[in-house]
Amino acid sequence: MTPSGALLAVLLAAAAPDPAAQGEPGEAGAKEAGAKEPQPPPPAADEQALEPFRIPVETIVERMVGSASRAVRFDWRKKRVGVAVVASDLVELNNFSSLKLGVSARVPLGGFIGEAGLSWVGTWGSHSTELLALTPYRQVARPRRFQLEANLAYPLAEGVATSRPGFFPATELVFSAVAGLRYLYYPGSLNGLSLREGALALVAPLLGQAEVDNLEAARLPAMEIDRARYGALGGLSLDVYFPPGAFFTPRVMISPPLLSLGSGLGWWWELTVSAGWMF
Amino acid sequence: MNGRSARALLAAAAAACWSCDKVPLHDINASFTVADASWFEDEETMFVFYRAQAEQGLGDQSAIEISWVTDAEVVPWTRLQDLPAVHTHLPVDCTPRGRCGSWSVRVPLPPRQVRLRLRYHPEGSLALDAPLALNLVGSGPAHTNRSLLVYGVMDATNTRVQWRARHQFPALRNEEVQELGLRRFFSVAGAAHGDVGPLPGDDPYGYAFAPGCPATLTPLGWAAVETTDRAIFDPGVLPLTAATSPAVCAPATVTDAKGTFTAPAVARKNPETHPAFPSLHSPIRENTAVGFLLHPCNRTISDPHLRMQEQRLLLDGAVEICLDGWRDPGFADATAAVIRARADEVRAQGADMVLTLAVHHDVTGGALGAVLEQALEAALAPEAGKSSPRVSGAFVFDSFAYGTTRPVVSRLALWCPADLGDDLDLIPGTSVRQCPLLPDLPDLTLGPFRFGNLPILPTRKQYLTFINKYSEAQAGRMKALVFLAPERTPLSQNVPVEPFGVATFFNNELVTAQPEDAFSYCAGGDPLAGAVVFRVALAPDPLPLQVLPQLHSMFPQPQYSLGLIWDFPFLTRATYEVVVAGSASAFSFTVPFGVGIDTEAYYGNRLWEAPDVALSHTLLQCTRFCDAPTFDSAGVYNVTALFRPAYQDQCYRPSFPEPGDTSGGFPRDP
Repeated sequence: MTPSGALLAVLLAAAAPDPAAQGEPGEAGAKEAGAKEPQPPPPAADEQALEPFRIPVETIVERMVGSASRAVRFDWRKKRVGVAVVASDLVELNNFSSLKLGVSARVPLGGFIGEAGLSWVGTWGSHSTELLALTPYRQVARPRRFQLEANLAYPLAEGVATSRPGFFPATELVFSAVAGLRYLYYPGSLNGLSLREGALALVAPLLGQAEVDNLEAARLPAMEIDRARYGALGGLSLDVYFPPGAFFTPRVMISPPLLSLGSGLGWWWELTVSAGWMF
Repeated sequence: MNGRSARALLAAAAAACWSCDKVPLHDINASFTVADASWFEDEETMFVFYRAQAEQGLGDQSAIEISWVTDAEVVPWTRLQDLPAVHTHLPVDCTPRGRCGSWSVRVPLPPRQVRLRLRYHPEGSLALDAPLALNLVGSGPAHTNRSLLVYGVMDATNTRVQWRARHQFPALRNEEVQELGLRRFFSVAGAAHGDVGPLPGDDPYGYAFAPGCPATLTPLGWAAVETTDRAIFDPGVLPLTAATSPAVCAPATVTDAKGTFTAPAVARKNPETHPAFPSLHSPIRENTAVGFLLHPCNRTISDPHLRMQEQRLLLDGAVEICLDGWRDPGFADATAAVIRARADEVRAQGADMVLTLAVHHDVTGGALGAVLEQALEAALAPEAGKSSPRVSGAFVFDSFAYGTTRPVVSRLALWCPADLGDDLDLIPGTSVRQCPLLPDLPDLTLGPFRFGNLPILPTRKQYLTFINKYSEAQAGRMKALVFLAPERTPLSQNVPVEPFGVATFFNNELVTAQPEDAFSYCAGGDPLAGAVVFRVALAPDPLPLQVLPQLHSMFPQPQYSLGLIWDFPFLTRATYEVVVAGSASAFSFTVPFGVGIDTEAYYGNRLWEAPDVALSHTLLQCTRFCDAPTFDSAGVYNVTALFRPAYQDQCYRPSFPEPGDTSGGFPRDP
């Protein structure tokens, strides 16, 4: 059933005559049946037992109004593909800073939104890491790298909103839960490896010792290279669509340690802003 | 929000706070695996070697620092590479997790309180102290009290010299020092050849064995060579006039903190060896089969069996000997006379012979066999000592299994089928052990089908049972029977070797040797070398070849005669068709069928399969420079393993250095 069809069904149900209010249904039925024996009246409904399940028509209409009106301004489900530029601040609980820049493509997948992207992540030290480099201690972090990304978003709430300033058209808002996967590739990490060793290393969940040794030059002072090659994140995002196709998406994602095999980073966040166009 | 939702949110919050600490700091766990300092008084040089490791990468800024105190100076903590180096030290790649290398500094007086440490960062104050091992080497002989000695080795031709340097440190090995980056300059000039005389016992390399090379040596006029590698080939080639010179001596110059140090270095020639007797050649000839058919002339025992015996020995035109009077006292002598007469007829053709006798009879208990043994002994014994053409032996195909009792017959005749007796340990020798009694394939029954085959030399009972079960056509057939035996010369001598063997010295095969020669025996060097024996004039009994090196070392003999030890005089190669016979029984009918397979079998001594018994890898003879050090198969120069004592019972397979070999200037020298 389409949203408009669902709304129509709800309204028709609300407008239908209440059989209890019209009275004498048995009499009319008897007239139509002619010679039939009069039937005993049905037992009276247990109004007290039904009462917790009764929902006012107004409430039903309120619940469905979002679904029924979501395509009023911009229907992203009818678009084929969207492209966007992405910028992120990777918030790790260490003394290094990481920023991400990249591109992504998003595709409506039924009720979901699928995304794939490629990013470059730059990492910088800090005064704290400079001081730490004077000691025999190291802190886990990740050097500069490429990231392959995949996200799947499930819309939780959608609606039309009036935007400010007034010359902006009305916008379509989609609030979604997002799950994402990250694949990290460190340039230069496979130097000196044979074809077979390189192929195996590319899919291994953790960086091998040879890869870590190759990254020694890319490692910042005081950095202990995090060996995790994959990352999993979950979070929330808000897509703001402007007809006829522009969109803007702030997103917050978090990587729980249990989902990042072999990582020593603990919790870390990805604060992302992306902007693009749906075609 | 109801109570259940509130509890879920609380659990989620608790989970979220789990492990939400800051990323912790980890110690890199750095440590030293090598921290060594050696000071040489004669060189006024202190060498430092280090190898530090860390679980995580050491930064580029991490450095090794040293400090020491002498009676004249106090050197504070100083970065090692900031000190002027006496020698060349190459940077060493120890992976990003390590720091390793070496350094050498001039220290005129004995150092005290030498300390070494890994400073994590030049701007930081944290460092890891090394557990330094300090060795002080006082003044003394150059070959033991200096950090480097020079020696020479020769290539395989003994005409090219490779000069080598060898690091000598109290706690580190030569190649480990090289791995830690130390390179030493040395040069060699003014080489001369000749006899440098005996070297001191504690100076096996001969470095600085004298203040200079003996003046009696002949100068070679070679140009000087120098290198910072551990070895370099001298471009000069020894002339023919130096062929008898055991060594080349040259002044070798090395550098140290005081300047240079020059001492004589010696290159000794490798032992000159060659196979003492490359191959013991004994021509193997195909013998002529001289057939005899022995059977009762006045009665018939079994025609099928008789035909089978004739076919198996390929008897065609064989001399028939009637067995009707075998109990007569003179039967054995008469039979021997017939055999000898026939052998003499064939001998005129010039070929060696093997007697083939098919014995068809029904005398059980072995009485007839004993008479025939007597006849064969009389016929064969005189032939054993003859030169070719002669009768090499006999092949008897009996009607029953029989075990020979006379040693001469056991040694010279293959009697088939053989009666092995009940105790397999008492099987007398090859002649009996190799005579087949078992079928080539075991019998097999599958439902109505039955498969089996017959040994090619069966007893009569076996044969008749088989053809009754299958058919005569499936009993197989002999296709060729070849007898091979060595050719004997008029000089050939047989020496009995108890209990069943004979050693034959065929044709004065000799190894001549000088008293100063040395031999090396390599067990397993050649496949048939175990059959070779030797004897000397003092002890005519054959001796195994492996004792020859010791014998020559203790009681040098001018020559050693070589011979072959054997336990059967010829080899029979039988080519025959064995039939996998089958029969199918159904409705009381049996239909035989069979598949023929060509098979080849050898009976007798495989020693006579080929004319040559190779000895080239088994017995080596050293004729010159036999007391020189040796190279092993890995190319390591074992300066204390002299050929004469070290290789008497070892395989000598040296790997010599060659100009341009893969080791370059760094030969294997642990």
